[in-house]
Amino acid sequence: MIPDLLWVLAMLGLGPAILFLMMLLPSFLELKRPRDAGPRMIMEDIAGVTQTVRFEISFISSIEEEESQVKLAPQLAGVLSVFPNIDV
Amino acid sequence: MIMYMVRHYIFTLTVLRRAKGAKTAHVVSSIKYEPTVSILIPARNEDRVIGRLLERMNELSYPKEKLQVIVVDDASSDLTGIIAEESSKRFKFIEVVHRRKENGGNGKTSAMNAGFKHSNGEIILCFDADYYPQRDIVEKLTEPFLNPKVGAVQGRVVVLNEPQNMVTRLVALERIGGYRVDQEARGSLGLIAQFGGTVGGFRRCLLENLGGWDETILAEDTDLTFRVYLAGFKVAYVGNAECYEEAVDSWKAYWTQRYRWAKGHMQCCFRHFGSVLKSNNLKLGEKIDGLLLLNVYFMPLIALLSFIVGFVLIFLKASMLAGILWFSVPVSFYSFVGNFAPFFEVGIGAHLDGRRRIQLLIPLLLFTFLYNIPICAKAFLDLLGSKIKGKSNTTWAKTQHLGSGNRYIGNQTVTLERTS
Repeated sequence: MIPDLLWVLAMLGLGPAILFLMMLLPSFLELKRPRDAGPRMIMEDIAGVTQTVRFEISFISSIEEEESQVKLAPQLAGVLSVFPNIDV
Repeated sequence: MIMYMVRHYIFTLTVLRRAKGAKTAHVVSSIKYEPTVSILIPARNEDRVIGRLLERMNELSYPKEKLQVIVVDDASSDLTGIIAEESSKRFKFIEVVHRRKENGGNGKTSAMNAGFKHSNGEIILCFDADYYPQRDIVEKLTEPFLNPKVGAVQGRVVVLNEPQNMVTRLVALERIGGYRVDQEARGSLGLIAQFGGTVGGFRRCLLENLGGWDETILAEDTDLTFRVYLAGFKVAYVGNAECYEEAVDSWKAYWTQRYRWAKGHMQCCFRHFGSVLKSNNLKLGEKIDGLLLLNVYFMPLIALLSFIVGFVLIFLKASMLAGILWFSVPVSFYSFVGNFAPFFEVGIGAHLDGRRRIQLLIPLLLFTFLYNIPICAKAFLDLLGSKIKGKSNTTWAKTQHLGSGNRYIGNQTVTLERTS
């Protein structure tokens, strides 16, 4: 009725060892070479940064657009001057 | 044990279902609510971290004319008081309460009460000195007070020094499970959302009626949670009010912190168990959840007990007891396997945070679970011993903060994959 002591000890040792190896190997690999070590960026910072960047990009692009229009205007006028005046 | 397992699965599935729904439903509050707010910061020998928090206080988006920040320099022997004074000179809304050795240094609760006496805000918020909140956290934490039934709020804690070592990474996992799933599910199911002692706060009038923080108990946050609920109010959990904390970074510090939590929680259990059962202010679901919450630190003890019984029975030479052996083995086994339910909870929390790789560390939580067994056993025996001897249980063991999280603040390159 009483299990053999050696058998019990072998099961107590071998079973958890195999289980642990299977279970913990990916964990140790992630610990050794973390691809996600954290910390997680808190939400407000992400929203803030995103909004700021977007605003800056749109602001800069609108300035550049205006500047390029100013520069292009005389050139375009010169190009267009070769065409006949079709105003009635 | 079964009840805890079921509870964990219910919580996890609730949050999963809620997360799916949240993709299509967005509720935006259009009501502007800006009460006067006092922020209490108890600080004892925190010169490595207090400066960054006070700088952050100045960066908060909440109107400064409605904000009062009170640093309680609790008999510090380092530069904490001087740094706080310097900040106070620069920013008018920061005030410093100095406590000398004669009347200070008796623990966080005592410092909180000193700060509370000095405060004048309608809402009282609390931050630990090692914390680093979002800029708009005050707006997020005060909004639930629009509901008159809400007496307290709790925000989410995120581990700042997570990359530091294995301990901080495991604590970060525990925090993910605890806040992203546990607290959120409790909040959405109308159960006992827990005030965690920091990144949260109270309605001033309620805190006055409750008599402030109880200085005779180690888990003052759990104690206040139950006093709020027993008084007929709720704690609102605000998951998007996030704040960084500096987690314990060694197994020794982990032991000290969890020992205090376990002992304090057990004190709360002895104090509030009967009141929760009898209370007319709590619904049945709240009572069940409250009792489970109060008893949570006894679970490692039950696991230990069943493990010892099973182990002893193996070596007993009695045929009658052999039958009990086969009964005790699954009980012992279940003590561990059943407790994998919280690991499932952590896994879902990490998934919802968009952190797939960190899920690989979940099996390592087995070590923290096993480590909690002697911690809880010692806490229980010490509590029992001091009850018998009639001694006080409130020796405060402060967690050391070495500023190891400073290097991660403002570093955009450590941003990880995440979902909203």
